[in-house]
Amino acid sequence: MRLLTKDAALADQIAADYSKAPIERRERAMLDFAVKVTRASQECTEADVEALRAAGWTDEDVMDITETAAMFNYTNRLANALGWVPNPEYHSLGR
Amino acid sequence: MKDRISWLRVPDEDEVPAEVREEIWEPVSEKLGFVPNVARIFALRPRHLVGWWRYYDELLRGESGLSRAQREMIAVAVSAANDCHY
Repeated sequence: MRLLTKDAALADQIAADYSKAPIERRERAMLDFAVKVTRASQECTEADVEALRAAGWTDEDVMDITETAAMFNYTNRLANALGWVPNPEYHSLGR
Repeated sequence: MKDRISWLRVPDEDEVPAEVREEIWEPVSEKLGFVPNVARIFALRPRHLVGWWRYYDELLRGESGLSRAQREMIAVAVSAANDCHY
């Protein structure tokens, strides 16, 4: 994200507490769902999908949001479970 | 001694198949200036790495109703929720 937006401050803010980050309403809905998928996917309901549609996302977009959240849950689990360490270069990228 | 980047064995460069070096290591190091550790570690299972890489690239950089920055926002929020610093 630092590479794409050149906005390290926004990335840090989203990591710390995205509810206080200066992002659009539909992006907040997107992140609410992504975090729910992460913390408690078994508690997701059709109402969560309706909330994303109400925020302006299409069904294709909801698929992408869910796949992207699942992708990082996958890689995070591999990294946490097997002691993966990122390159030191990452910390300076986009800063 | 080099710092450890994984609790598992990290494959030596000469045992990594050409497919991995040509499709992943070379283009990404041209772009970033280094090979990300994930691409070295995951090469323990080369065909899994290639399959994952293609899917990851399509999901994060392919056509989508989400901007690339929005997809990166999901990456940041999910990784923070998992307390993952990779």
